[in-house]
Amino acid sequence: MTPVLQTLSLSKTYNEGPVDVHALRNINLEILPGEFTVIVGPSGSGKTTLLNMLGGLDTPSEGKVFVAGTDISNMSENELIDFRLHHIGFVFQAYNLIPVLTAEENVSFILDLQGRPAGEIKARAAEVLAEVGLADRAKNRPSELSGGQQQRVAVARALAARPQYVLADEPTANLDSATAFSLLDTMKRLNEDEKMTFLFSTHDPRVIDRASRVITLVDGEISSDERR
Amino acid sequence: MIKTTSKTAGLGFVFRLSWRNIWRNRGRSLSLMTAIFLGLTGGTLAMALVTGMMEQRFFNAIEKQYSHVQLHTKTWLDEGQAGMGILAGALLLDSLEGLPEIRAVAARTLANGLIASPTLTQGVELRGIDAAAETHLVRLPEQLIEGAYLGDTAAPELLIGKRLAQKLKVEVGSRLVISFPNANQEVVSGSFKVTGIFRTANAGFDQSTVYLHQHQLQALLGETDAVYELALRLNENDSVPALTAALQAAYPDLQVRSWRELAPELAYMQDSGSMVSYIFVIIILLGLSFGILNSMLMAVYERMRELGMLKALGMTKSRIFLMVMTETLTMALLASMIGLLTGYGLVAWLGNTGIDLGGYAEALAEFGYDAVIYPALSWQYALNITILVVVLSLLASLYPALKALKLNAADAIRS
Repeated sequence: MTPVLQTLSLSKTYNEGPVDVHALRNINLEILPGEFTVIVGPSGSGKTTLLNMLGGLDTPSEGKVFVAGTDISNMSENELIDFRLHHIGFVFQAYNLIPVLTAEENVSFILDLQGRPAGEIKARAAEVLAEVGLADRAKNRPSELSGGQQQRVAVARALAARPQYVLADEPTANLDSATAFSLLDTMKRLNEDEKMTFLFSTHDPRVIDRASRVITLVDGEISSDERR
Repeated sequence: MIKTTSKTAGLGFVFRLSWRNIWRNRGRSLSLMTAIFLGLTGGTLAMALVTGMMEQRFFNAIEKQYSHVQLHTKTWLDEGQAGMGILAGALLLDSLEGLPEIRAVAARTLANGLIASPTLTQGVELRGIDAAAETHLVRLPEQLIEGAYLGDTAAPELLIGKRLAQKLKVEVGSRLVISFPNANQEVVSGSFKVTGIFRTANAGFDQSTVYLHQHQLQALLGETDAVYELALRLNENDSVPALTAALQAAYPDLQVRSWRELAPELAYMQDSGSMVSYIFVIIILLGLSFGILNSMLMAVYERMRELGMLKALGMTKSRIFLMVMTETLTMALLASMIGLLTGYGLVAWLGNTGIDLGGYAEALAEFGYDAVIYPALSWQYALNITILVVVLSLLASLYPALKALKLNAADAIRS
């Protein structure tokens, strides 16, 4: 099976004054389609840096990142932006919805930017909002939604364009237990029903418990990689 | 396979989001738009006021004083003495009347002399005119504020300016003595009755000019049919340069001068007047553009995380740039349009009623301006100001838009 994501000898070094900080060292990783993977590790272990590399938000100092066989390591900034639009879904810790748009518009603008036809945009937005259980809140703005509902909109936005994988950075950090469980159940269902690949960076044991694969990072290196 | 986006994809979303962003912080957007609105309304009114004053000043100078073109002999212009008039002036008058560009022609007889009341003597320019012909040229009867226009050609009548009447302490019906050298350089004099007192918008002119019947002045000069000045009123101001040149070529012995040479200060005012007004409006707009820059910079800094998210999710830099620019331009154009429309509305209203500055009439007359000002403004101004607003808004939003472009998506999301 062709991996959705693959890294080869991936390293990232930040130059902070006279000292070189090695955020990632020689990461070799393959993520297969439909995996529900979490990356764990203590603060400063390189989780966020790795997620940035895998999401095309940062470029490696050494090594390569392949998405479905395409090398994104040497793409220009504009090429990466366009690549992210079509191939990667993001869920952020702080939801990051646009407050002046309704839930439906927050979901559909990705499709709008892709240049999809209006009819398809409307239908797909309604479909993914229904999948996350917010069909009846489509016309509400983020300020009229709870934190959990806002994060569901963010998940719907990440799934709207049917990306090759979804990167989620601490998606449950700001949610209470009941809301977090509900959201994770939804994501797990989407993972199983639609074979959507999820990759989380988290400290949250509620997320780790549901993962099919747990990768542990320590000091920028993979210390364990466990499939369940 | 790598998918790519077309250049026009998502533009509808960009414009929709720009519009919503304007109303995200209503207070700030409305403050900025109110400042632009007030600036443009005030600027338009001020510009219309200056333009109206200049047009009136021009109208007064051409229609009531200089006319468009004047012909004299060069010796008269150099020395101003009797006997230096235009030879065969009456014949020349007839030939000029036939030219299609010319609406009216008047032949004048001029003399520099003294006018004496029982209390004072004053140096003046005596203008002997054909009373009927002159009305087609300088609207003299409209400028009378007391008494009547020259009528009975047999009676020794004078028209004097209000300023001169005050200085000589005379009124309608008073008798004055004029004296001046004739063609033989002998001083001649005559007694005349003041039949009317005029007031133009030019106080200096009112103090130094006296009108009387042409044939009476010619008789005193001892030069029957003497013509010293031919004044031409044209149908169009635009034909002044060509006709002036043509007449100068046709009559090389005469000095043919357009109003631009007769009143160079008027020509300078017309050439530079609107430029000065534009500088005034540009200063207002420059001040406003710093307000725009400040507002948009605040808007961008407030939305760093959101802009980072948009970039992370796939909004290209050109679309982010377009979004910030559209937001700025929409606010600036909307406020400018309302400001210009309000300004033009006020100009239309005040252009009908006029702004009465009667309290400053004398001071304004010193500079050749009427006491009632009618603001006026062409639509060309609106077009020019709109272009200026667009250019300055784009320049003012350039820095905030570039700031938005330079942000690192990953950092902005976690900021």
